[in-house]
Amino acid sequence: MSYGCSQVIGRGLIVLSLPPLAISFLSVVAGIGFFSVSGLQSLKLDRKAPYKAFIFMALAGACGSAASAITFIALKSAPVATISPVVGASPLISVLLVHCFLKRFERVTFRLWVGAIMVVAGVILITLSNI
Amino acid sequence: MVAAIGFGFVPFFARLGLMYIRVNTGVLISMLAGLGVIGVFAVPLHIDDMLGFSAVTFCWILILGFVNYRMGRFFNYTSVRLIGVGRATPLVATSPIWASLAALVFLHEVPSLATLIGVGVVVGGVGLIVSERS
Repeated sequence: MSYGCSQVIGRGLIVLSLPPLAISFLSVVAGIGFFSVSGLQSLKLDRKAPYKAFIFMALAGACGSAASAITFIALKSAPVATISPVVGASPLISVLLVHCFLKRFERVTFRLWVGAIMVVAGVILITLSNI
Repeated sequence: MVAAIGFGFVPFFARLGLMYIRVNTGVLISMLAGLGVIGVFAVPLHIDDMLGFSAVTFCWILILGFVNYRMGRFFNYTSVRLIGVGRATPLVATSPIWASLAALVFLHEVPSLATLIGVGVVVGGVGLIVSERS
């Protein structure tokens, strides 16, 4: 629900001809501001955690931001109808990565695959219908 | 395709990191790293635009930051930690449904038949995922 509402707000800002990258950057700054108190308290408690945990979380954040920036750049040269379905299939990539590398921790069953494919197909249909 | 792969790796790395640290810590670290990456693109290109935003625009950006990161990313990572990537990621991907609902309520955008069919397919997929026994 939160991501859905943020899409509506973001769309409203972009309609005002504001640069999407600038909106993304400033919204991350705002998010860090809102998170600073609880995040720093939690960081103190986790300061003895293995370094690889921090590296993994940094990679998660970096991948997400890089992917957002690449999507915005791609949208300048290709139509939304081409970009959105491809980007919308990213949950399937996540499930595939878990199936290949995290079998010890999670089991991806056939039912989960079918459910994930249905969700992605439905989302792509909704996205294309709104273009 | 590169963007899709990038987005696909986010919950995967988050799952690995959140095995050792709290969600609040993970969200803060990921946002700091993301700020660095997006800043490389945004600051050189749009610094003048950012400094020229009105007060109303900044207020909306603050709301966006709260909704998307303080709430959205926090609950996203919490769900990855609690129920795993396989279940959490497709559920988080249903955000366009909530966007359509918010657009209907606040912007009076009536959904098309294709949207309603898409919602039905998504709900079916969600039903399959949440009914899976752990």
